[in-house]
Order: sequence, then structure tokens, then C-alpha cells
Amino acid sequence: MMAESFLQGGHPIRLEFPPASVKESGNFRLLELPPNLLKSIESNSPSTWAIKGNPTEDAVLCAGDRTYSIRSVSLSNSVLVVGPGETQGQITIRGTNREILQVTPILPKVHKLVGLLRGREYDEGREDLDDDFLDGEQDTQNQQQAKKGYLTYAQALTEIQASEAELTNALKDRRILLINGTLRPIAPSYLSTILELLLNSLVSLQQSHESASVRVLADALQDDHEIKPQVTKQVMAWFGDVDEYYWRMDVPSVLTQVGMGILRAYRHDPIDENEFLNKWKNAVGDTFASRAELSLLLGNYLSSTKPQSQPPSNQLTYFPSSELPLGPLARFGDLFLTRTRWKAEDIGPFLDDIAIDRKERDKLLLTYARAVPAPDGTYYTSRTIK
Amino acid sequence: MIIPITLKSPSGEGSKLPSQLADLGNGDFVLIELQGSLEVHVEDPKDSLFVGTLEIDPKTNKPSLIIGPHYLEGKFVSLSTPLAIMEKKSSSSEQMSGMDVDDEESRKEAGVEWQISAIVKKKVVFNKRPMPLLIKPASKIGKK
Repeated sequence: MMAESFLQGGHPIRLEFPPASVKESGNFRLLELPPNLLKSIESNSPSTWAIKGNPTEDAVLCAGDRTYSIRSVSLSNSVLVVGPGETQGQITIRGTNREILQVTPILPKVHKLVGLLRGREYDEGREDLDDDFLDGEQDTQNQQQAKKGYLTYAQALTEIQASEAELTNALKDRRILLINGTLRPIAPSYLSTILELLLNSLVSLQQSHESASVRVLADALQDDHEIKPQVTKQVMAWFGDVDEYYWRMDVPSVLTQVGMGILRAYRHDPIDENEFLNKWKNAVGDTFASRAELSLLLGNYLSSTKPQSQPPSNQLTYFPSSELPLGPLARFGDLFLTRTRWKAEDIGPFLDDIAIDRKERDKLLLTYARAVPAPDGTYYTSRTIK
Repeated sequence: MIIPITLKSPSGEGSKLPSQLADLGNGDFVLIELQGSLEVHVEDPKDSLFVGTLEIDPKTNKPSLIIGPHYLEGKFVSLSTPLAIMEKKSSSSEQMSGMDVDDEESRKEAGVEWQISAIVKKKVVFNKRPMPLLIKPASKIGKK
């Protein structure tokens, strides 16, 4: 009876396996699409999607300007991928899946750059080595560079598990120059030198930091200090907006970099906070002295009270979060070795580069640290039981 | 190593799937979920192999499936997260020769890419036990 009522309904559809010839093409994966991925597909923007990873790495999905981890989840049911058949009333089973791929946004794995670029620093006095490559055709040049062990941009795009936008950002954030197609991290001291020269030149050449002439500055640095214009121009682009003619300086980031350059010398022996601020303000010149504030250097220094000082004063030690381990467990281990207890606002800046947002940062703190309330705010201590 | 994922450009002629299944997603494919799995004993059939009859009741909008003497009652389920159906494609060798291949590793994988052939937001689920049919359905279908 049931069958009869069933057959009285609309048009039945014949479900079939296709002939053997069609079957070959059926190799399917089901990929979950979180809202932003779905939007990216539906907007039909020509965004580039790719799966990246070497056999020893976990594969990631790079889509648009984000990177996602991929996890395979098994299903207890089987899911048939069904496509059209030969006629309207037919559908054919093209594949059977018992797993779906789940994706989660993650930070791009750009840290690998550090290892790949070790020993390839671009520094004062070493730049002449590159002149050998200036002649000859682009292709042979690239091959030469690759042979010498330099990493080219194209190689980095394949090797680094990040989308192109994220890789470009990483090169900027990590101050990596692109010299004749190869990636060259700039030596920190050399970068400080260039920035200080730029600040000086702005004053001496009477250029406004809001719109300084790119050519005038690049020429001045080349003529007086033999700094290649292509290096100066990339440095300007890192620290502001550059169009064809003008540079609009990003004041805070220049100040931060100069401050870091000074602070770097105080890794082991602390410097008095006021003494440091004076040095910093001197280096950046009168125009910007008032804007040099310690908040610009968060996540790069440790502040402590100077013992036996009257009046009490603070001292600073260079402690960059970029040199801390990447795994959360190791990161917290290091942080709690350095200090047994941290104020909530002090530890935050040292977690920003391993957490994708504030929520994830708080989650890390919940997992790896123990919150201890105190009259002057929350403190965090190690969760590890000794 | 990079494996590109491309989005199949809409053909413009619309889906070739039966109209009853059209709102399950956009693209060439839809998903049907079954408890257990289908076992096929015929190897390399020259013609397509009939599995069963799928029907969607126009009044209640309930799908049902008859496979042999089994009657399955199903339902349409909206996916909490939409799924992309990706199909493995091997690009031809002529495309490869034009590429700038740097090392052995990328050469090996250069031919593979995945194409997103459909995006589905709903699926048909048959997750109940099959009910035995009293009347052998094959004869009925044969009459239609």
C-alpha cells in the first residue's frame, strides 16, 4: 500500500550508478565553508585559493587574504555526491564520501621565513655582493640567486603556508627587502641607520613628513651615504605610504623602529627609563620627540623598578616577543621563567603574535595560566604544577 | 608545494539536475546522505546501473527512496555550514610545460588541482531504517 501511495506522487527520479567510463572522473572532497569563505566564493571575486604544504607539514588552505587549517572529520553515514544523468528524470552517483574537511582560520605560518632566510641578511658593507647579479637576463639571474641559496619570492610563495597578501604583509612586518627577486632581511642596525638618516634628511632638505619627495630623499641617501635607492624606497614603503612621487611617513612606526634600535643594546643590562627616553627623543629629532612614548614599544621590553633608587624609577630590558617560542605551551613556559607572575596588561602584548584575536588570547590565558585576583588588578601565574 | 583550487565558472545554461533538487545548492552536484553504504557487485558495467527511485512528494515536500524491496523515508536538512563539493582534476601536460617549475617536488604535483563544482546548503538525508515493501516495486516501475 505504501508503495502505491509513493508512486502516485510527482515525477520519480531514477538514481543510478553511471557507466564505467564516467566513473573514473569521480574523486570528490567535501569542504566546509565558514561565512567568509562562502562570501568569497559567492562574490565570485577572482580570489586565489590553494592548498599549501610540504609532505612534512600539515596542509593549509590559503584563500583570499586568509589562511585556514584543514581537518578531516569522519562521518558515520555515507554521503553520495549525485550529479545529473543523461535525461531530466535521471541522477547518477558520482562519488561516495565518508569524511568532510573542516577549516579553521589560523595565523599564517610565516615564521618559517626566519629559518629559510638565516644568514641572508642585507647589511652595510655586504650589499656590494649583489652587484654581480645586476647584469644578465632576469631568468639566468634568478637561477644564479637560487643556486647561491637565496630564497626568491616565487619560492617563498610555494614554501610558506600563507596567502599572497599575508606573505606580502609578513615581508613588510619582518623588514625583508626584495633585492633582484630574492628575499633579504635587512640588518636591524642598518635599518635604524637608514631611518635616522631619513629623519635627518627630512629636516635638512626641508621636506614635510606628510608628503616628502621620494626621489629627493633617495638621491640624498645615495649620494651622501651610498644607500641604494631601491633599498631606501622599500624602507619608505614599510614606514608609510609611497606613491610614485611622495612619501607620507607613518610617524608611530618609524618612532617604534628607532626606539627598538636603541633598546636592542639593553638585552642583558637594563637601562634607566628616563635615560632611554632621552636617547630615543634625541635620535628622532625635535619634530617627533614629543611622540616617542613607551606604549609604542609594548611587547618588546620588560619594565622593572630599579632597586634602591630614590625617588623610585623604572628600568627597561629588551625583551622582544618575536624571539619567544611559537607554541603556546613553550611561550608561556618562557614567559613564566622570565617572571613568575604577570599583570594582565603586561602579559597581553607578549601573546598578540600567537593569538588571532582578543578572544583567542583570553582562551590561551585560561588554558595555560592561572588568574590570581589582587587589589591592584589580576595577575597571571604558571598553571604547571611542580 | 601548491595545489590550486579553482571555482567552476557557471555554465549559464542552469543546472541539469531535476527541478525538484534544484534548491539544494548551486552547481552540478547535490548530496544524498544514507545510513550505511551501497554495495555494488557488478564490476565495470557498460551501461548505467539502476539503484533506486527517488521521489519528492509535491504536497509534503518529503523525499523518499526505494531501493529493491526497501522503502526509505527521508527529509531535507539545511546544513549549518555550507559545503563545497571539490572535484579532483588533472591538468593536461601542455599546461605543465609552460609553467616555471623550480624543483622536482612541485613538478610531481603540478598536474593536480581541485575544482569547486558545487556549493550545497541543503542535503537529502535518509537516516531511518528501511521498511520492507509488500509489493515488489520493480514491476510497478516497469509499468510507468
